[in-house]
Amino acid sequence: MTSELKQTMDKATDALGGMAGKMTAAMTTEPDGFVENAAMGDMYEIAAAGIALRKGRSDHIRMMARQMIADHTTSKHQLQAALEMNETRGVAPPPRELDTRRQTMIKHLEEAPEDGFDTMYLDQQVLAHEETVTLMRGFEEHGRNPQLRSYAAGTRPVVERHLAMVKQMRAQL
Amino acid sequence: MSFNPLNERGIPLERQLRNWSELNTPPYDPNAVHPYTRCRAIFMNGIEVEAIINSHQFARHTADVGVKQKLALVRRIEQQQQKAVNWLIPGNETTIERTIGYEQVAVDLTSWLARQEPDPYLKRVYEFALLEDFDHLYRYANLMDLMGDRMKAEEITGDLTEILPGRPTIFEHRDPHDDLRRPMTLTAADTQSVMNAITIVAAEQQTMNFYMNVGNVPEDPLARGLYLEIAQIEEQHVSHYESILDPTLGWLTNLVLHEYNECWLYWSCMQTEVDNRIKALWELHLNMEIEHLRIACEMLRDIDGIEAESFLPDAGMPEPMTFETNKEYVRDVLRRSGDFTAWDAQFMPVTQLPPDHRYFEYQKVVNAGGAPSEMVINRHRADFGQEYRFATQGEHPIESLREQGDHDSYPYHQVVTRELEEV
Repeated sequence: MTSELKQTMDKATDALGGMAGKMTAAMTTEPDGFVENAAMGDMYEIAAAGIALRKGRSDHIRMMARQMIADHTTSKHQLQAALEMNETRGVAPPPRELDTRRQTMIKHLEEAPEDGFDTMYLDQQVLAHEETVTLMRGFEEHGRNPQLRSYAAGTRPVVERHLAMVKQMRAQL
Repeated sequence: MSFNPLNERGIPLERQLRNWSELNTPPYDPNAVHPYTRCRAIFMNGIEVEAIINSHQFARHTADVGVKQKLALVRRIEQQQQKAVNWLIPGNETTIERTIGYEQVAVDLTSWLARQEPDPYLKRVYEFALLEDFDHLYRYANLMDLMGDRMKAEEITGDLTEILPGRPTIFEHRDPHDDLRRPMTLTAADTQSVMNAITIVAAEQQTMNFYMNVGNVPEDPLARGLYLEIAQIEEQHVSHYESILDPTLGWLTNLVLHEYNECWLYWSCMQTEVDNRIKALWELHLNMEIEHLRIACEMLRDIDGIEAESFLPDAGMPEPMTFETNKEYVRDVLRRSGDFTAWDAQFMPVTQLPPDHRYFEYQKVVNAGGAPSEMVINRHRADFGQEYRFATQGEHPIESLREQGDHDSYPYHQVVTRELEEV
């Protein structure tokens, strides 16, 4: 398979996965599902940003990656704190590993050619942040746990700004 | 022994105004006052200051003239209350003596709140800052000795609070991101958690304001340096504690919670006060606050259509906030978390921070040239041949923080020294 064809197929796989993820996110109102999705999102962002620090071709990509690591570490810590509170008693703990879909996305980043990395990374960032914004907005409005709704309310503006930033950067490539 | 101020009747507002001589409260005798009476005076001054600041902030954010008028009327009384309370503190109690009193409030208030706190995460929030305020008491106590004050710190605190190193102040300086915690929600939190948080924010805010304003009173550069260094930590503590408040509350709901909190605390002071004259002041102010609460509840009902009973407990507050000794509790917290730091909303041993964590860059910048909190101990050792400590329960629970301990083996010291060589 040529490199170009692989990149195209990887991008299509990521896009299909992103669409499915966004649909699931929109319907998430139960605490366990929310925690799983939110935690998975943070884990993916931190892992992807780590690769971007190594492989990113531009200073802007690397700067963005550092911000992603910082901000998604903050949201990870906020979620962990929320899960230590009485308000979330009985909610299942977050997963410790990425699901297959996000593992595949990470694999695509690792395998991306040097001249195609920035595009692939930003394409994934748009998909991932659209999914996370959908998750946070939906749960803030309809979620069935007040503390996790509060967490969503605190995280949503940050990921909305991320989404605006990655869309702008993608448009400028 | 519970108390529900919603079931009580207070003094009508038009009868609450007092004249100057009524407000000019005879102060306590600093040589005879019970340490916890001093604590209650310092503490309730902070509570009244927060009531006033909150009312001013509300007034700046509402266009409703009727609300502004009611806020102004109640606030005028709160200001009178603040004077009557704060004027209990005598003019012949020096600034450093008063500072020792402030830190005793911090240690024994925070300990009580932590012990009563029903939420496990919020308990960790209190325990984290407790060890820092405990250390401030120790640093100021050493300064007090160096300043040649007529008293020793233990004469201020009595036999009630030990004076030992906590989490060393030099290591408390953190990046601002790492003082922000997870807020509770009024909907799901226990009322005790809500009241605890409003209480501690007011207390730490007052301490911060106090050091911000009196830290430049000493002439000695080391004293001035210590006050400004610790004042910066109190800013961290205010950020830390205010971040656990529910940030989504409406102004009127917040006002009701503030007034309810004042009622609970004046009732607590009344229940536990040993000085009969001052007990009568707490009772008078409680009866005023009950009316302030009624007014706030009425506004909440009329304007927002919310009944205060919908979020306040039927049985009221179960226990009075009580100043009492917490020596074993503080030692236990030291043993369990003396080497903890914070990363965003989480607490963990400092050894778990990655080498490139922003904590190390912050430490490198602010502590360049040395920290006054360390210098004050070094100077005390140089001048007196030893540190000032007051221990009643045996040696320090952390070996590396004992006076003759291996200070270099304290985890913070090891980690920071190692990483700052790399930065």
